Amino acid sequence: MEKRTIIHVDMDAFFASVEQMDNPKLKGKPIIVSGEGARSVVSTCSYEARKYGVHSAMPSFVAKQLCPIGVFLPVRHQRYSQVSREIFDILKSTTQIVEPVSIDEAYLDVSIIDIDPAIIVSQIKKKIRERYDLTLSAGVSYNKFLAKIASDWNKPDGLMIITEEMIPKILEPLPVKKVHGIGEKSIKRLNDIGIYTIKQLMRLTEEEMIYYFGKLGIEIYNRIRGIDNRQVSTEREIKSIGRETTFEQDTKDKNYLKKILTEFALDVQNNLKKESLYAKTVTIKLKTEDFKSYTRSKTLKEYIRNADEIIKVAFGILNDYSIKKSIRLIGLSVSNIGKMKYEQLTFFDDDFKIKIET
Amino acid sequence: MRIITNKNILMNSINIVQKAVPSKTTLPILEGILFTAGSGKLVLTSTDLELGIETAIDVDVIEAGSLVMASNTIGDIVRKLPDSDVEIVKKENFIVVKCEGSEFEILGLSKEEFPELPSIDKDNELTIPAPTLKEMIRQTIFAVSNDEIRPILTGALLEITGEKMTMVALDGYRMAVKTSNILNNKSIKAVIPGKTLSELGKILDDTEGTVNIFISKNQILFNTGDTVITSRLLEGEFIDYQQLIPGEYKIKVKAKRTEFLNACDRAALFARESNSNIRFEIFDDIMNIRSNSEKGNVHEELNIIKDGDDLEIAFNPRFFIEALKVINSEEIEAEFTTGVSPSIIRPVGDTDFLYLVLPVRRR
Repeated sequence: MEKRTIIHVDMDAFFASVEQMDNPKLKGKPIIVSGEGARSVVSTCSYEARKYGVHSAMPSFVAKQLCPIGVFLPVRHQRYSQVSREIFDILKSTTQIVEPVSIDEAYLDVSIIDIDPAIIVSQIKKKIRERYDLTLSAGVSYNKFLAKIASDWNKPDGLMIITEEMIPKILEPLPVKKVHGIGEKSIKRLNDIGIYTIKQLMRLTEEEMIYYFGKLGIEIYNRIRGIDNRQVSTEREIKSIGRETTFEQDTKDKNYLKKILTEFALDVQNNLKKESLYAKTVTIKLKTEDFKSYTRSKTLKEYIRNADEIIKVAFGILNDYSIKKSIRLIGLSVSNIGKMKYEQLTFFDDDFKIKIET
Repeated sequence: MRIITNKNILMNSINIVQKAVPSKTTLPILEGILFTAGSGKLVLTSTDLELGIETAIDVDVIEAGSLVMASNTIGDIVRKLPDSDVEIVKKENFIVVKCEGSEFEILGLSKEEFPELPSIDKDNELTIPAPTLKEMIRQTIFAVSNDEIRPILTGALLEITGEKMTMVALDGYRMAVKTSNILNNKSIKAVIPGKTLSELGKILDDTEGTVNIFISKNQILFNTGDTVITSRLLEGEFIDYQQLIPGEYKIKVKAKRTEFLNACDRAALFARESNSNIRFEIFDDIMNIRSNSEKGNVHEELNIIKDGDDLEIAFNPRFFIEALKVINSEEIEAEFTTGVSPSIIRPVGDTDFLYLVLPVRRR
């Protein structure tokens, strides 16, 4: 996989900060935004309140005991959403590849932006400050897991960059609760067997990880070793999915190109399946030895997503292309992407097990 | 060449051959119609190199000969002529079309360039009534695929074994199978392009006449007497359609065909988008047909006679409507097994037609 640059941004004490911004008198005071009623819990609290030991998800009455002078405010979702939307607009002006995690948290994939990520972060912070009196903390790394760990490093208004060289040293002393995906029950079970830090967690084998965490075990096993291939998925609108490669040696061999396309089609199929999406357009891109690009698409009437269907269309396009110059790059992508709520069954589904030669 | 004929007769034969004139072509001569006159007949020929049509009419031949005119040009002219005698004369550099007070001079195309229709081995011959073939096409053509992903399915299978002739079309989602009895003892399998069948269906008479069919390895010829249609056959093995037909079912529903068709038609009003569907809720002797969309909801209640369990199943409405439209019987039977297995529709009292349709899985 190509080396990526992922930024995780997390607004600092978002709800409480919005309240302080809207009512400057509250600045510097312990603000606790919480639901109403006896059984309510704390949504967010300002850093001033955190000094008293208040944290989110804590029952409001406990917060009141810990911080009697705290200013308790009700949740104003509409206002926060409105601010959030504008912040996401700012994030999207940096890159289209923004994955919203929640109202105040997002991943950005800035791999293709040729600017020092520290500068990208400071630009984002500056843009937000120009608009709102709010700060965020950002983590930069080469995958989502590490970027999230990094954004939590020195809140508020923080910036932390985790590079490959820092792995595993930087993770080792962290408590296991820093690993996203490990819940309270698991933490307790781990503590019971004397595991408190990531370093200790790394002693477990893959099998043991599956025993403790179920399916997620393998992923956690990889993540604490700095491996996390999850894509930053914009989810709301994926415009195209594809792959391309530049050959080590230019080629004129159509069969070789077909082999590559087959591999790509499988990849595209898996990506479509992962996102529960379908596509109608298949595009092939070729670059010849003299750097000339050739792009051809075919749009079908029906959504497709299976590799064999993608391959069929892709081969059709390739067969219409006569190779005169050597090819240095080939790409396959699908677009015209959409969701199918209903799936029309076909005779070619696995259930029918019909093999046809066409 | 010089001939005289009637406007309507000429128009009719132009209409027939225009069905094989390609709308887009890289070979301009194919946009033309070849007119050949001799021994009291005028023969019009057209081809797109896959499908060729030749039709003959009786005319007054004053001078034998041949010429090629652009299909659009001559078609437009004749269509607007009065109902009277039309004379076509070849002059040195142009062709004159005369009718009452009208006279057109048009440029011809080079007849030397016009391709010859392929000749076909006359070994495998069979004769069937034109209405029978027309009906077989009507009851299957709608299920031919127009998706080039599986080219073989853009045609219909013609299978002759013993005294049965079967036509099968399937597009991956549904399949129409029509059988007719014929007098024959041959064993033939050919996949005929959907376009050929569709044009042939328009040309065939639905009340009388016979068609002679000749089939070679990669060509087929249909001769109705006046008109000869030649077409390439599709290469490759058609899907073994018999294996698609489930041997058993769990639920059988009997309904009045027209009522069922109209209910589906109305329910489909809100199911126009490409992936939309209508839902059948089959319980006791009622079938509820429902469709929900952003525009609104439809509920149709249909009286049925049911044998078996209750079931909920969803379909693309078009796949049901098209089949119900081509069935002739008053009542139909539909067989179901589960919400994700194929359903079969049959006309009651007619074993010669079978339609299999796959449902939509909702998720």
